[in-house]
Amino acid sequence: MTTFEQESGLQLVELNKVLGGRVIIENLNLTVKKGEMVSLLGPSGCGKTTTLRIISGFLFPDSGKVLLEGKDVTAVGPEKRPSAMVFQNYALWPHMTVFKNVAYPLKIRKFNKQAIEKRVHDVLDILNLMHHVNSRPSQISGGEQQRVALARALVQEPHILLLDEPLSNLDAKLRIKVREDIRELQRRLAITTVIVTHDQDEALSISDRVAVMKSGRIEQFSTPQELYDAPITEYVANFIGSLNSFTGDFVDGRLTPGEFTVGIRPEDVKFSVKSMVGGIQSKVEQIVPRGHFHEVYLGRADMRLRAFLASDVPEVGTEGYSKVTKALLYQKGNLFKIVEQ
Amino acid sequence: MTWIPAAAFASVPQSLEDAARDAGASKLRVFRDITFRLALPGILVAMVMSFLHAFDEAQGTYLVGVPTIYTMPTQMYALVLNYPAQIAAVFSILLTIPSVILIGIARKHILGGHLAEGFQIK
Repeated sequence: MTTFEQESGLQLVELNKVLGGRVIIENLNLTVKKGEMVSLLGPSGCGKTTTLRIISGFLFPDSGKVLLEGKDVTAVGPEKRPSAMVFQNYALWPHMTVFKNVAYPLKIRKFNKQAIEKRVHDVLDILNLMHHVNSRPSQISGGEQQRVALARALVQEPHILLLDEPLSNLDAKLRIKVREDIRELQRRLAITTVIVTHDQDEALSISDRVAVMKSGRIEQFSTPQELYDAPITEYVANFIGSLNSFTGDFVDGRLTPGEFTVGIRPEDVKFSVKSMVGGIQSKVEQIVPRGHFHEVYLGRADMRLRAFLASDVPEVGTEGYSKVTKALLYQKGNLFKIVEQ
Repeated sequence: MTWIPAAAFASVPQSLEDAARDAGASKLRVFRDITFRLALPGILVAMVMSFLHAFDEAQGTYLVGVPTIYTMPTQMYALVLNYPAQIAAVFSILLTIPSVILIGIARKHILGGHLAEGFQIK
């Protein structure tokens, strides 16, 4: 065994899976470092949940290997794997109290009563659930149910924690709070974590690295910043953040005829009523207030550009100058070059 | 009659069983601790219905089975028919008591209780 394998928390090697005659996962490779938090991000049907179910042992791959901390667990069932999963709908058992839900994995492992009590109380304490020890799942709020599900996973002290869209059933405000809690806890316990999500905000904000998936393959696997700054395919560029997309070329700060796909992030557009170096005459055509910023449509000789402007928003009809500070050029879907000025 | 418990088993959400497997339970253990518990109300209903059905069949059973085979419904018929009318009246009033208690228990534990909640989760 190489040192590399010992350091990795999870390794997926050449995974393939066909379900119902459809190829769900194709030649998927992924290495997650020990203690790292990784997101699988993609639209529905891209195979991210199937991947998670293969990691947890509910599905077996047609070919390929799953290694957990260097050990081959490909043929091991879910009950024997040192992984713990938090399900999308939490899957708490309605006929048990919070305490019993969390204690169940330990009961199966035949811990004695004192040990169970101590560990369950410790974990409930970390997650701020002590006042609900004797409540039933139906008597507590969605956010609390989510924390109970997390407690039930953590109490097993798993080698890897798997989260299947853990936040999709929570309202927007709670989602942000819970995702920060999860991140904080994950860092503190240094537990290898894989989280499945279709929400790019969620993936970018809590992961060390993000794997963007498209029809059973990983398109790009890198840090959130890299993913945003230098998306290596057109698909990733469109999926992460917003993008103005044109066919042509980008020369001297303006769109010219060509064969590339030119992607411009609305954040990379500057606008001023006064002339600036490299600025091109533009007219404000439409303004959509978006809260802390404004979405402004600019008419130029070469293109109609969508820009996100923070302040000093001019009125519709204002003439001024705009400048593109960064453009992404793609050739046949793959990154060709990045133009910055 | 088979369909009622079958439906009860089918309505136990798959994810609840998966969660138990993930927690380390064997398939048999999952059935005992999760599936069976959550299907219990349906099984109880099926038991009551089966008994009612058997009661309906009492005359048939009596015709075919007498004097060697006695089932609970035929015994109950025999009891009721062999007593004088006054005693039968008293007896029938007494018989309502267990029913009332049963309804009370059913209301508390099946309709309003946690067993019913098992079926509301998708």
